[in-house]
Amino acid sequence: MLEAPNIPETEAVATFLRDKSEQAFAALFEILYPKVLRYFILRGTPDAVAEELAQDVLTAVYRHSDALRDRQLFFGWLFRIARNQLLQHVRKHHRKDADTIAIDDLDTQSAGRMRTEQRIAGSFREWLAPLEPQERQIMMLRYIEELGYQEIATALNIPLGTVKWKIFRSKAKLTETLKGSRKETEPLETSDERRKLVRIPG
Amino acid sequence: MNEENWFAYLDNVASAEDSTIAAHLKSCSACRETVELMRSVDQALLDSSATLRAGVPVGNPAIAAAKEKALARLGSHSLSLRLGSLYLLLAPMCGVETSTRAICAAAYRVSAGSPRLLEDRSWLGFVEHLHSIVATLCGEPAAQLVRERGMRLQQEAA
Repeated sequence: MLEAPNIPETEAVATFLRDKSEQAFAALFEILYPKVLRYFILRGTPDAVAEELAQDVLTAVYRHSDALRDRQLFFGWLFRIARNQLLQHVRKHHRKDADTIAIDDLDTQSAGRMRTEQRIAGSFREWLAPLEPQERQIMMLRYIEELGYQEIATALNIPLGTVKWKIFRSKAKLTETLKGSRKETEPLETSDERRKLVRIPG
Repeated sequence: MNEENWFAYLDNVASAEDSTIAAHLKSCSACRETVELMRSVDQALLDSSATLRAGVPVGNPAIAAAKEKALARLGSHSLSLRLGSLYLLLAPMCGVETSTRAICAAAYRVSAGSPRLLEDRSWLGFVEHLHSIVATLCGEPAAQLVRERGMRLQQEAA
């Protein structure tokens, strides 16, 4: 077994892209595997399939690292491969045109066998509920995978301007949700308002 | 102030117009309120996704097992590349048919049954058998080239 030293993520990526050796790949694998696995699990993929897909993604990274033109966009490229793997899996098993399936909505199909991470994702998902599927995908890549604008554009193969606009638009939509939740928790100012809710006997 | 700089400001990404935007916000209460709300949304999203960002808890044994599987896959990929390289060397010297037969026979002699079933640890034995088969079929110079290429491929893979 190749023993990987404990090194930071960016250093592991840089070392792998420079050396492209199995040793460097082993170190990178240990760091990236939990992240890629999370990507699939949070999109509703069963555990065993998620593990298989995560391995596929990382071996693809090893084999095709020469195709990465801009090293700064490594994570965008990584999640683009992950997205393609997921689309391929969906095409194969759902026998539908994958373009018509919103990846982001897949988790509803596995609600019965939700694992802890998916349940934790509940409150985040509730926040994202008012958004359109593509906006949700962008926000998940931004807030969970912690990708930058350009990396998201690479991951989803969409223009940078679209990413910026969608993030802005999503937040603007969510301010309405926030306003609503603030109103619900606001203390009632007048005694009349309080009386409407509290029945005073006699 | 362009739209893009506003987007960046609201998303806490530094831009050249940060100071201009800050100055505008001092005098415009409507924009200030919008920025405050947007920042609150940002914070709520960060808070609700914090646990998810920490990652899926995967034990070290599970990661190690997955890594071994992935490396094994890469190993077989690397072997097929090595075989391809030897074939490309042999084919112009010995012909397509003879090269294919020589490679299959050498793989059979190291108990692989087929070149596809060849393993990394039997590579050197395979190269030696291929050397002797090619020496018989195509002559010693070709066999020597095959051996040299086979050894070099092994070193590169290591």
